[in-house]
Amino acid sequence: MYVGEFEELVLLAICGIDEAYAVPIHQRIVHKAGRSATLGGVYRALSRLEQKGFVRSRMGEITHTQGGKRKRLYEVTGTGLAAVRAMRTARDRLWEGLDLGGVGTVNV
Amino acid sequence: MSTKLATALIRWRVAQPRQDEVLDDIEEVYALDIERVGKGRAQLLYWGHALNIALFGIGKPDDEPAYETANPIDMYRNYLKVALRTIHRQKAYTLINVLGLAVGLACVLLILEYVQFEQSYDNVADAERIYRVQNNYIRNNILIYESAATFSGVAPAMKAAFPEVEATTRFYHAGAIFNTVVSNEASAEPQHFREPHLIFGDEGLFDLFAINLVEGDAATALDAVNTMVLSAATAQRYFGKSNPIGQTLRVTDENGNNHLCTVTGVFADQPMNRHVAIELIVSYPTLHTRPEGARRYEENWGGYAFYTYVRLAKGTDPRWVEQQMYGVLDQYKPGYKEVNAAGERIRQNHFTLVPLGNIHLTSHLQNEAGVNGNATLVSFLLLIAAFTLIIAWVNYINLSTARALERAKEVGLRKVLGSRRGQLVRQFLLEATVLHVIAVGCGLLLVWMVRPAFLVWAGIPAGTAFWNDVQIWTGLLAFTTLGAVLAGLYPAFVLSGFRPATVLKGSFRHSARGQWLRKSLVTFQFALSIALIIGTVAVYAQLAFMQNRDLGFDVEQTVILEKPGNLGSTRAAYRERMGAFKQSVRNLAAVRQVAASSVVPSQGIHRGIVVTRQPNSPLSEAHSIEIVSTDYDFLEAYGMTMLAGRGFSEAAGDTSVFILNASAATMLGFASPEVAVGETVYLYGQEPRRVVGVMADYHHESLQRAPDPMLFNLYPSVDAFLSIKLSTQDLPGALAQLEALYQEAFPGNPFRYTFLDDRFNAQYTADQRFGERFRFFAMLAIFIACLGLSGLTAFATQQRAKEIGIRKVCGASVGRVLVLLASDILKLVLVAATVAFPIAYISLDGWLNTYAFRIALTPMLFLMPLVGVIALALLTMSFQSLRAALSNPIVALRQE
Repeated sequence: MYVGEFEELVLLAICGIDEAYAVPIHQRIVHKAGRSATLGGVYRALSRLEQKGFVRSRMGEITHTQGGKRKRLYEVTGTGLAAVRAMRTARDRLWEGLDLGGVGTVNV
Repeated sequence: MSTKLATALIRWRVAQPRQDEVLDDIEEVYALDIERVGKGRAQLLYWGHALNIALFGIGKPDDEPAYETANPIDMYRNYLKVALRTIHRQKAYTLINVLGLAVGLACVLLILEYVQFEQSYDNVADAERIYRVQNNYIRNNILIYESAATFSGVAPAMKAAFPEVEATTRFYHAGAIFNTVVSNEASAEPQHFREPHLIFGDEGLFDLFAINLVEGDAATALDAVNTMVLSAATAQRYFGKSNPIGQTLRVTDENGNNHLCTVTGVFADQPMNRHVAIELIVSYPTLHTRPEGARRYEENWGGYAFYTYVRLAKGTDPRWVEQQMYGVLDQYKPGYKEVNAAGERIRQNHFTLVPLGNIHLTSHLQNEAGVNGNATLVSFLLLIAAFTLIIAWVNYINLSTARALERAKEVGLRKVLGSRRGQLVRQFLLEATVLHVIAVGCGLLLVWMVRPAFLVWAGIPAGTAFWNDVQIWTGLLAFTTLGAVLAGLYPAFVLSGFRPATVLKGSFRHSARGQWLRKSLVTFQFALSIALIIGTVAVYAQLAFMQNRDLGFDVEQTVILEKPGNLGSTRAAYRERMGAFKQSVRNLAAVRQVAASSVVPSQGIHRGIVVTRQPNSPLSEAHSIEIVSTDYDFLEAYGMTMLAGRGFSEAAGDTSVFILNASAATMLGFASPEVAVGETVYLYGQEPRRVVGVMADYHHESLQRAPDPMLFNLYPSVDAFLSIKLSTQDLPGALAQLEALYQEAFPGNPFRYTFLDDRFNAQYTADQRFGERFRFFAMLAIFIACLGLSGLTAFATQQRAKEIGIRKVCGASVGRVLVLLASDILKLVLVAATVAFPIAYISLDGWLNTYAFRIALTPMLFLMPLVGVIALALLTMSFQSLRAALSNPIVALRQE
């Protein structure tokens, strides 16, 4: 199974957040990755990722914010991790020997 | 721009379980955005999110599963546990419900078995192509008779005329018409049996009636003269274990016919669902050996005594055959072509082909081959079965909703813990199903216990295929599920609709609408019960009326003996013995009078005789009348009233004389009975008879008919029936004496007697059965209604516990409280009565009009059942009401 472009970003964002739910994922993508994204898009991507088995969700503890509602927390599964690594490997291999500029580190 | 609309939009496009979560997230982002870029832009962004989400939706069908599926098996296990605990806790209520449903179901099952049996009559192979050929006789546009049997010439004529007629059979029901005695002269001890189910028939019977010959050759068994075949049971009766084939039996009847027949076959006993019971078949050619045999029994087109059946080829229209029969009739009865002045035929026979399967339930002609059933009764019973079931279900709904209060807290708690409405509905439907399953079990148990008695009562053999029919079991399954769903749905919705807050606070009050529904359901039950009870009372009143009404003759203490079937040696010798017998009977101290006649009251009227006022009148002026031949003593013995003239008298030298009854006198056009005396009428339009007297009408048949015109013909040596009027109360003693004399005078004949009142009342058997069944179901209906009422009362008194407590504190006496509770119920019953009375009146009036003599529908007939029902209702609620009225008000008013 392959990961879509946006889905890959979502996966990576999840990896970088402790308690990942829709809002911080969205924030991270928008602010850290600098890519525009909509909350709805994030939800859809999360849904697809879960269907593909790259991500699992659970209902978290009752939060102490107003309303005390539980949030749906996501984390990357082993399969998801493997998929993300595979993507990186594939990209890096293609990037090898290219001199196109842009931000990014060439992997060794 | 407001965010509320956007919120709504999101709500709309996000699946229910994710809504809260998603909205939280959106609001969080919104809050962050406000900080970052200010309210205005934040709102815009909010809308952006909303529209974006709305575009594709979240959690909607094509997306992920809408919610985590909870483990259904666990939930159902819980529901079951709770259901069983509820049943355990509310034993009384469960009992009432289960009982009501079980009884209703048992009723339905038994009725269905009965109905199926009645409808399965004559289900032989190809039955749908087999028809009985009947004819009627119309003269001068008046229907003279309608007969189930037709002329002997019809069967061969139809076979010859129509290639469409595949097969025919005809038989002559000798055993039913005449006292026929069969004797086994070869046995060690002489055996004589009266055989009412003996017929003369042909081999077509094996084919069309599916009579299986287990011994003997079907093709030849009934070919030769003086041969016969027996049913297995009959063969057993005469010959025990030995082989009946080749043995002989003597067939004699009261007309002096005498045939020594050889047994050529044995057939399997006929099942009970045949419209004619056949036990012995003598070969048809045997009839030819009788005097004028060929003329009377073969090509005869005058006497209608031969049951004829045909099987038509596939696709033949019986109506077409009926039409063609007119042509056939012209061939054989050219005299019927005669027309009157208007060019219409004076005499006509219409032939009707009746499908074999329809005979039992729909044919009720004068001379049916057996006792037929009643299609109205069958549909009526089905209706009652349906009603009983409906009442039981109504009860269930009533009681469940009434008991809702008890479950309210449970429901409230479940909702608080997150139960959805659908889950609650499912829970209560499951409870309804459990109850139904238990009820089905109890119902089947009930049926198993009651069935033997029921079968006897209904006259059904035990081995019907009813319970083997898969349809019944699938039907039961359908009943359980359907019943559970229908009956459980309303309570389920009511119960699951409780608002947790209200309920848990403890201030729960039942809705006014629920009350109204329950009250109307109880009223409906009572209306039905009242109507049924009125019906029962009316049916019994009519029966009693008919049975007790003065019949116009003396019916008590009368023994009827039929003419012996085995006449012994010669006619002359027999006559002598009959004379001697009559005299010796007269000489008995126990006997008041002996009279002889051709028929006795309670036998069917045929009106087959024609009389006219003038000799050789044209047929248009002839009248059909019933004739009874009697000896000198008959009228006096029966105590019949003379209106004019006198009875038959030997002293006066009466020979060719008649006595008319009042209706006959009127029919023949005499202005008054006195005018008729001395006049002459002509029998068959030719033979003169002098009228010596006119008697008052009497009821020859059941009171369902108005008296027919009858004439009494003097025939001193008539001996078809002997009516012996007893003057003693010692019936067994008198009968013993009669039997001794009888055996001495007529050896070789079984002594068989009936009492006239029994015979007469036997006409009412059908009505009596009807009355019995009606009563049974009325009892049932009110039983179930009372069950429902008691359950409801329990609830009502519970609801009103506080009210009663307060009333008592304010000084109300126990009686006052009782009156209060009772008046509520009374109001319901009265409303029920106003619904029931008109319905009962109209239906009963219609039914009673089928009787020529009927009771009037008096107010008492309606009020008495009402009073009874009120008493019963009060009794039902008395226990609980009394308890409530006597209860300590402190207990009720205490705050928990």
